[in-house]
Amino acid sequence: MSSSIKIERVTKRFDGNLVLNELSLDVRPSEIVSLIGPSGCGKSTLLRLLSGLERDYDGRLLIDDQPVTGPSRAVGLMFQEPRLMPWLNVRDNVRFGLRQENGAASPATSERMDTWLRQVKLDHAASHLPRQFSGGMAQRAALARSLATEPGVLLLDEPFSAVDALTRMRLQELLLEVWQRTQVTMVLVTHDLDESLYLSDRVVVMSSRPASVREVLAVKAPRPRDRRDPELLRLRAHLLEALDVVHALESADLPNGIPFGV
Amino acid sequence: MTLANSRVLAGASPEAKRAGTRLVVRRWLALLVPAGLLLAWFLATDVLRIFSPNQLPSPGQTLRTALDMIASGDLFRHIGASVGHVLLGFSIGAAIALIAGALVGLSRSVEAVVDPTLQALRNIPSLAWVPFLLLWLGIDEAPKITLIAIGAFFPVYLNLVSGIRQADRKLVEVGYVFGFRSFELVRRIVLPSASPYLLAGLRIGFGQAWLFLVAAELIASTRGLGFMLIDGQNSARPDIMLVSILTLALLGKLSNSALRAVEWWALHWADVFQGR
Repeated sequence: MSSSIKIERVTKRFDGNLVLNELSLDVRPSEIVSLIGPSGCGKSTLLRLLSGLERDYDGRLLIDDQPVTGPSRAVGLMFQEPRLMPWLNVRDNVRFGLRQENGAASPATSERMDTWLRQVKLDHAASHLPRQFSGGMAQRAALARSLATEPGVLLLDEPFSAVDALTRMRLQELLLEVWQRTQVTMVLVTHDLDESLYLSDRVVVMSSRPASVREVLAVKAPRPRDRRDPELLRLRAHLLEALDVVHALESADLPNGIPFGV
Repeated sequence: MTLANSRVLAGASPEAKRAGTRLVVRRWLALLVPAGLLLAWFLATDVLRIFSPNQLPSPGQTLRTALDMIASGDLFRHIGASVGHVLLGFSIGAAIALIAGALVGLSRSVEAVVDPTLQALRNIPSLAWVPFLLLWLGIDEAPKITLIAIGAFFPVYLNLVSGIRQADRKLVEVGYVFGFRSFELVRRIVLPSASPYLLAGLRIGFGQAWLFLVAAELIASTRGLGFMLIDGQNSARPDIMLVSILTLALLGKLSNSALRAVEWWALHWADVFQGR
């Protein structure tokens, strides 16, 4: 379950305002690609287009060479907030995307749910309600929910930005474990340079609005990676510089600068 | 909720014990005001004789009347008739409200067509319907049930519409991502989100059904607590009127508590402020 993504000269307007300008990008099956760029530059819009939540764009968006026409099981999307259904326990939340009536799950489904719950280390809490959860636990449940439908592409919109630094690192490890098992293609929007370098095969630097691809950086360090790997540090310095260029170009529009983490 | 409470009671710390005691004390506090009223009633009638017995019978007299009516079976006959009216009227009113509320809540166009009229009808007092219902539906059970159904309809309708409109857009979006179609979105996300409002609406609607009952049983009745009230008035028996009123209060309170228990059971997932 790993799909390819082709983004060809995609242009998107909201009420006449240009958000994406002829943006092109290819993602190979099983690749992890991070999108970074100034706040509000249109990274999230690109994810929403890929997930089929937003429509009406110019250009071509292909997943496994099929045009994106709307939401589909082939594409999972994880939000910045967990967005769990508060009235369902964790197990029912994880299987929320499956087309089964609650309670009438087949043994095979129920076994798969157990595997997912174990994978995200929530098997001990399967019958808990979301209100009893910490942010990290809730986001793990959301990750399992996104993957339970076995999509070929997982889109992640700043998924770990609301948790503390230590939890964030654990979630990053978990994401890599899951990726190793499923080989799902991932596109990750993040504000955290270290996160993008630690997780991805390529980092895509986007320009300010209207967004287009400014630079694509390959991260060659082998996995498992060391967060202090000199190669990652070198790339980090380069990225800071690249983003500074973006910053300088639009400092007039963004007096508060760019909120890049760490 | 209970989870927290039982944990509090199970714990042995002094603070936990205090919290447990507070809980028990609070439950008994509910009897404070009724006991005070009973005392005042007793003082005003038997002791100070501010009211004559044919204005306000004493608690003892009222209790005797009630026991007589229980012994003769009259009281239960009236209660049975009223409960029947309320249950049937409420079921019909609430069922129509569920359909109307769901349609209006889910569709702006249906709302534009239906809602203004319903908002106008909502402000008609219950008694104003009576002459017309008599004119249209005769003097049998139909006008009584209809009136109670009208009373139950509005709280259920209004709460369901606001409940649906309060559904979290972000949760609905999760359904979109999974490719849910409209029916699935409604069933699996919108209605569960609206359920706290819906249950409150059902409870208020049930209370409203009791309120409309008396107006309904003013219509050429021979049975029911509303009839008892009128009968007591016509035969100058304030004790019978008091028994009717107190029974109405008791039944209303019981049904409210029962529905609250249902609400509590159905909404145990909600992460809400519960008062201090």
